[in-house]
Amino acid sequence: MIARGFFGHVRYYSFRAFFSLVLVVLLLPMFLVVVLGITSSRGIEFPPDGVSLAHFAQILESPEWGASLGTSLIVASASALLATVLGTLAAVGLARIRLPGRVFLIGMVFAPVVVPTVVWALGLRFVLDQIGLLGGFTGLILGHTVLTAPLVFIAVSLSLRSLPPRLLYAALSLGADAVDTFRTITVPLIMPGIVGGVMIAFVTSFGEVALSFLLGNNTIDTLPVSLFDGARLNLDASQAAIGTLFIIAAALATFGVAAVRRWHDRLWGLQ
Amino acid sequence: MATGTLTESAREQKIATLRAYVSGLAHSINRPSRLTLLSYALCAPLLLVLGLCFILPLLYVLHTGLANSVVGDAWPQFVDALSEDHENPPGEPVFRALADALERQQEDEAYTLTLKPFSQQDPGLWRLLLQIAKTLPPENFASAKAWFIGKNPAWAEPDTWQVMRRIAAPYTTYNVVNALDGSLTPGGTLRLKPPDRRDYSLVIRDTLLMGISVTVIALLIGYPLAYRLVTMPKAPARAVLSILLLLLWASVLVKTYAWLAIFDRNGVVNGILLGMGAIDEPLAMRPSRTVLIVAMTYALLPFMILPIYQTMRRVSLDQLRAAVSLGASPARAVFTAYLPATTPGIAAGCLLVFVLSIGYYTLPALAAGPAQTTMSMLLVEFALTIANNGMAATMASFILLITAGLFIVYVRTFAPIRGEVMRRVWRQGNQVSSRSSSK
Repeated sequence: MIARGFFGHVRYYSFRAFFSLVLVVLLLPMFLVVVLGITSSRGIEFPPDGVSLAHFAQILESPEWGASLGTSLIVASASALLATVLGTLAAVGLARIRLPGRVFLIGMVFAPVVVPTVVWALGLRFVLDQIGLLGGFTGLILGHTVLTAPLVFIAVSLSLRSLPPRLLYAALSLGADAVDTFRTITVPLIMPGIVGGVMIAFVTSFGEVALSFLLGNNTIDTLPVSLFDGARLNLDASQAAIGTLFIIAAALATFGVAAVRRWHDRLWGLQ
Repeated sequence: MATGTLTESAREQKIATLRAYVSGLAHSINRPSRLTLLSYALCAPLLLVLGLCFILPLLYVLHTGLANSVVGDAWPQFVDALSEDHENPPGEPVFRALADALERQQEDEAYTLTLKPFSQQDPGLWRLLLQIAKTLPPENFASAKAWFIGKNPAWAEPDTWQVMRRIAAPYTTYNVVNALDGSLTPGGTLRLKPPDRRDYSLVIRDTLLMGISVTVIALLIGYPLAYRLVTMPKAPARAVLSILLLLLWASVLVKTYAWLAIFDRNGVVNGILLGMGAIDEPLAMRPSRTVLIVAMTYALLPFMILPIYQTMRRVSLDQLRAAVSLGASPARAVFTAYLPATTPGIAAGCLLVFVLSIGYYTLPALAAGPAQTTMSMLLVEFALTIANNGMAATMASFILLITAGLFIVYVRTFAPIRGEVMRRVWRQGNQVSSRSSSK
């Protein structure tokens, strides 16, 4: 490497120290939520005085937490499923490069990720209010589908782009028609994108607050909304336990996507 | 050449065939192929949902912020008569329509509701209307206009009617003006409130300042971090990227909650300080501007680092080495060679962080003190607590316009739609997972 000299060394090591410090600061808060979630005390207390899983049992037993957990699971599953079907179809459709208006359509699919959620959630609230669907499952699921479909779209689009065209040509030249090729070659090969999209969609929907808060209209609470309402009043350890659930979900999304891809590649002998 | 040997008719026939062939070709090029139609059909379901649940709501927001339907709905004849008459004060039919409308409204429960825009926007006119309404119904008057003016000479003044027209119009700038802490003179010029009575405009200013400070702090932390990430060995870099992705997918609620727990009265900072004996009483730290900025920077750091990292990976470090070997100091090499090459990533990161920071609701609602209300908090308060949809929609429109403006500048300057920012972040995520799969 380059010769440094004394001040060079100081600079080099202070830079590394800064880097490590930032990493610690990034990880520590998440770690802390888990620690607070598995303590035996009722309130937030540091340092914690003992370890117990009582707060997790309490989530399932308490009627309010249990109900919002159920709502969250229903909304997240339904919207993830809907978003995956819609997003995958659109990704396949827009994979065709020479499609007139393609750039515009892609921009439109991306827009919900870019426009702040509260803005379009407010508009959707007005619209749902007009047709009497405010504060119900239908409205929540539709809203969450708008939120997550672009994520599925991106995942599947990237999978489609990494698809080697020669595999499709091979299938076509061996006599398969377009539909067969799609069914037997394209879909299995973009499976990691689809499954990854489902996971990301589920986790994103599961943790969303502002959208559910505006569309739920206090009549139907998802788990994050309950946690949000509770944390505005005061903090306690059962909230930290719920926070731990969200961290587990995020970890599933992060490492699950990688695991699915690894498993898939091994199955098909890719790479 | 050889055409000379052909007979006239054979030649014409040949030309006709060629023409038909060429036009047929042109036709088949212009006609959308079955695959094109199929592609549109595949996009259609998603576009339908987005149209109904995203585009339509956005239009509805813009409309609600400007709509002014109260008077038009309650007194349609009066508003029609007013729009046909362009004089100030108007002629007899308008006065008569107003008298009819007021008379009919008095039996109605919605009476005060209809007069609400007047009380909000011009109390003087509101009092005039109340005064007139009290004395109705009058004895058969020959001229409604004369009767109104006889009751109060203010009805003859052009200013009264200018304000009346503005309040009765189908669209109004009242909410926008109100959100900027201004008021309109009868002539329609904007006048700002005195500084000590400003309210919403301060919230807007503070929100933008908060967004800028979070963006700057995230850039100062994120840029060196991304640089270190590019230059470090593959295996630890993958681990760090996993951490960043975990933070990217973690709900903003839990990221906020963690900092609340850290700064809580019984939280970590107080726990440690009390344990060390540094303080006797727990410090009250939550919620405040510091907590807000710290939590916001923390939540948005991945959105800064990932686009910058993505750009840096494509910029060769040789440029930097070349600059240093040509005698530039390291700092100079970075500023002249590396920074310009990585600007697209910086722009993408800053754009995302800024837009998200002014758009987040959950995080400021939990972490901000009462003095740090943000635009999105105001929006939700207007929508849920005060039930003032017009003001909520106006706030939402402001956020939407700021976002759209910044995106247009970004796309014009740095990237056609291909380099869409969000995709950069995502592609990073995918590459990490595919690279870890190759091991």
